[in-house]
Amino acid sequence: MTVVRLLRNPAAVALAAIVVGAVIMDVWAVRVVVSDTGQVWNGGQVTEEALAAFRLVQFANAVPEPATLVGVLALLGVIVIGAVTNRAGRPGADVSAARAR
Amino acid sequence: MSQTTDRAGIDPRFDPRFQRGYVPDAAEAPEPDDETPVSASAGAPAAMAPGRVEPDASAAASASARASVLVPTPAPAPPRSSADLPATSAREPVATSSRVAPDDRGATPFPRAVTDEPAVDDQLSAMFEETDDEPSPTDPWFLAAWAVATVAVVVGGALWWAGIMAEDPFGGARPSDRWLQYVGWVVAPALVQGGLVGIVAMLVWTGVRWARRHREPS
Repeated sequence: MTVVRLLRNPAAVALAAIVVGAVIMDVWAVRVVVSDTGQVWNGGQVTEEALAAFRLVQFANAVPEPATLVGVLALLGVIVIGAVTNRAGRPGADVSAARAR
Repeated sequence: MSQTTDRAGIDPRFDPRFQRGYVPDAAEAPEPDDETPVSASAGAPAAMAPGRVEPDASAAASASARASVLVPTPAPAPPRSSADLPATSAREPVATSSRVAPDDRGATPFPRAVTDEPAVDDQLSAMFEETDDEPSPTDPWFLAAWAVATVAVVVGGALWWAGIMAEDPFGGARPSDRWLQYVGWVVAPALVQGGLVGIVAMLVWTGVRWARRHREPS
């Protein structure tokens, strides 16, 4: 029940999308960096393709750090929103009533 | 004020034996006929007002000398309601719980606690109440925070990408592009990360507000 109400929360859905996107970016960046053969440094002819591959590797090198950070924070945010949703959904859960106790 | 400092500092409304400046001999002296009995004027019980205050000349002189030292305590104002009290400090609600209430004679011999705990509780709860509707998502400051986070991500990403594009592994960077590479390596990642973290934080806050507002009826 809490998950259903969590899925109705637009912000929680956006955070979940950020988590999924961060995971995808991490996997892609790692695959690009690992699959780099480094042919541009092997004395081959400098072409536009080789230069584009070099820049792509440069970009992929910088992606995992912010993507992992944001993904973890977004996951924590989803958990926090889930906790609030679960607390708000309990029978008789009211902020003023809880404070009165 | 003049009634409270009647004759040699003796307050006629209270038992003179417990007041400063009281002289036992003067209390036992006869009084004139026009003197109003203390018990009748103040309405105090007879046991609390055994006699009248009529000091002789020497006693009056010494008593007046002592009375000049005494500072009469003014009667405090009627108790205020808790709504009138300014909530400027955390200790003030504690002080309101022991406010002074005048007795039936209009005198306030000492502060007396009045049980008004529900009013204090209301004031404290209003002070620390978790206002869920503040600030609003359409608040200009909130929108400005969104804008700053978005601009940080966009500018950081642009600098980042410009630094990558300015890098030439074969010919080296031109002197005019070195500042761009440095900014792209140092400033751009921080801008992007800060903006993304800000966006995530505001999404979390928005989601928490949404969850509180859309709680199911109990």
